[in-house]
Amino acid sequence: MAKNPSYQIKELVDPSQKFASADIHHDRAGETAIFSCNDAVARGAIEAGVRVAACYPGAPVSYVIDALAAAAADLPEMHVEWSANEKCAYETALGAAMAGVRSLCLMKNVGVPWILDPLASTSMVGVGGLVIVAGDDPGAETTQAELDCRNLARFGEVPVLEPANLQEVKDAVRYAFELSEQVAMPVFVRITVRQGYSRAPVTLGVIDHDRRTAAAHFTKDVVKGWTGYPAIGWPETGTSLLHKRFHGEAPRAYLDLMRPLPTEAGVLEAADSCPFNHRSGPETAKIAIITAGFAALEVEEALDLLDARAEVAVVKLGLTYPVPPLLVAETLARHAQILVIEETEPVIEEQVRVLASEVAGAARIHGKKTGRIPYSGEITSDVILPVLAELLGRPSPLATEAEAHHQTLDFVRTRLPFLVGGQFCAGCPETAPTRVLREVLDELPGEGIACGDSGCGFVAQYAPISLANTFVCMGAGLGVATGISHAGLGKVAAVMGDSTFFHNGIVELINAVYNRANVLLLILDNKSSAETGHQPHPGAFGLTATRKPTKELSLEEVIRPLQVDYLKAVDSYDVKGLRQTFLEALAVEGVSVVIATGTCALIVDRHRKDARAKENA
Amino acid sequence: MMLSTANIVVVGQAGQGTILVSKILVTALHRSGRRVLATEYPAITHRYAITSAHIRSGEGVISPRIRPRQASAVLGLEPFETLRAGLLLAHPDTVVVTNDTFIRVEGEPNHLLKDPIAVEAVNDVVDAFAQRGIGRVVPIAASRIALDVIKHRAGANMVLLGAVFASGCLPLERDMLEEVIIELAPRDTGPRNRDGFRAGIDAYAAVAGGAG
Repeated sequence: MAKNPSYQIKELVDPSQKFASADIHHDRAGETAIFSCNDAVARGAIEAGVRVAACYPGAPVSYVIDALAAAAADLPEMHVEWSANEKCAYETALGAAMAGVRSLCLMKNVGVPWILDPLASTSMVGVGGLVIVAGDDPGAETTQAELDCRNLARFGEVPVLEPANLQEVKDAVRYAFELSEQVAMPVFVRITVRQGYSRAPVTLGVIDHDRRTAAAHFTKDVVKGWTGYPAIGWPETGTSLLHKRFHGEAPRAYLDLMRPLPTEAGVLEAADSCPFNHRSGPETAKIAIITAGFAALEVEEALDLLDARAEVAVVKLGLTYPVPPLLVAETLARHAQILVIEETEPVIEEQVRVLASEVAGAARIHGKKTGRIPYSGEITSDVILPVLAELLGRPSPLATEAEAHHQTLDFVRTRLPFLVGGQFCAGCPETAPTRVLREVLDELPGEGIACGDSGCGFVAQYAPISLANTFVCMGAGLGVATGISHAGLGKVAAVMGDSTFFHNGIVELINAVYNRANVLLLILDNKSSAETGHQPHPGAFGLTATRKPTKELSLEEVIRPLQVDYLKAVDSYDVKGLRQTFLEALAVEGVSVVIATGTCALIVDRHRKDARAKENA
Repeated sequence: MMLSTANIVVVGQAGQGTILVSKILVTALHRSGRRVLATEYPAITHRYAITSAHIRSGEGVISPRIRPRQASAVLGLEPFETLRAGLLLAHPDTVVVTNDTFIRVEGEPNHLLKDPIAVEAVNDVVDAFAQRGIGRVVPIAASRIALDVIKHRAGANMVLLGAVFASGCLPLERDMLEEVIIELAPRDTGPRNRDGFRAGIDAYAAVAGGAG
């Protein structure tokens, strides 16, 4: 096994050094504290009496687990975990909810697609008390896809709450548990990156200790229990009956045998009674804005800048999938023009347009579908203001400022072209393996193709290392390399991190072995989920999220039984050893795996500083 | 001078202490009884990724995000990042306080910055700002001062915080800021960071004349 002096570091980072506090779980209802958004989510869950929380790290929700894990020291009934991937996180939370306790799972926006199979298979069975906090990324600041998790929630017909400010974030997370139980479905809470990394005063509520400490219970019933294939129905299948019940299409004889929920009618009723729906401004206004989430704050700013609060009605929605039908229909009937303001996809707007077809004399609707509001990027007050000014028939007060800003943008783009990139930190253990692999690939005959992956190693695609030629998503580097090798371009390299290997890379490796691919997998084993904040994983630290000792899986021992054709671990700082190892691995026909091991340099640096501080004390 | 609304931008590269400055400002403003909102982009863990924070304080503040050309102060930990953020967020009256030390990669001030211009010294940054009408740019030798006073270049963030305070752009009392610095600085670095803050006040006064 490869060794280096920092290999045995076993201390996790103090949550207070991250975007989380270690002090969010005290019974101080009514007090106000400065919270990060991650604190607010965690506090909302604690107030709701959450019992199980699970997450695979990803922006902007990673640090909720740090806050909850710190709280678990004083609230020992809580189980808090870093899961191997998002699907594991969802299923852990799902199982806990099936056992009658409130549960939470969290994921980045590109993590949501990983749960679609179990989500779609369980959204109709009647499980409640299950909340999914998903972090969307308008503008794609931190992820590789500017997708909208609301569309993925719609895939399972699951409700979505969109809080605006941090007080609402905390309160909405708490409420989401109640809503989930009320409608007997999982409930999404959508957070955006801008929100997720914000900080503001939040007033604390009462913690439901009884709920957290209540005994678990489980229903074993093949008709009314937790199966997607209930033992009921002919000629319909039991699965279709779950769907029919939701939409009010199930035969009466079967309804009497089934759980009463979930139903679409119940969800729509909840949408209209959501406490986070707010209507403001004059009822007689010709123009109304329908908005939600962080964009609602920007709408308020735009109205203030225009001094137009007396002329425009605002309907801020709490539940955005589905939208509250009665509230929206009333709005459509009352106003002449509707402007829909939301971030990323026109999820609200499309629903409003559908409802408009049922309302006589409905308002004219403006938004993304009419080209007035962009799909991509944050929807900010400077985007909203000129659109609103035009609808009001007056000049924008920011026109001069906007023109100056556009001139600056032109100046920046022509004089200061920004070539996107990134580099490894000083002392990073991933620098030498990726650089040496590129050198070796370039020296040998053949295409020299390498496929990249998520994690810190993704910067290896940029100069001066220029290793990776593709980037897709978690674990996909090896899958794509396998495909390229089967296309006939010789031995293809793939590079992934240790956390990604445990996330799903192991399955890609099994597939490559089984289908006799000709690939080299380089695993950059820096002993943590480094890019997202040094979280532990099944192969790092030997600690759970709550700092309890656990089994630490060795990559070599996990991979050896998979019958790869070449396997070797090498020290990440041993340049000669790396070169020799890559030459050997590339000479082998079949699946080669090289594990380059070295603890993240930032962990080592922090560890040294902590040690020095202790000595000085 | 107490400002009604303060829009403060802090920008640098990952690991330079942008988020710590933001936490200090938010905590101090809150304790001073002012309404405060902040949004922080931590970028990614690795170095050379851009990290920024917007801190807004004032009764009319609703969104934590600062609109283009609305910053009242820019605190830049790395000159090129100061330029990049400042050009978009500053206006002619904005006070821009920037470190004068570039983070050099592969022998260049910033490996991302190539032709047609190459910034070699902080005066090039000052000139680029001037071309856009932003004239109140104050370079501070923050990394060097931090090395002298705090014994670590990473303390440049506190030096620059002192310089921005000295500019009169922060609606905060000095005692409150120093109290929060000592409380939030990591490990045993509180007193040294406070000393760095004080050195920043002096440095601003030496370069631009201060309100300290």
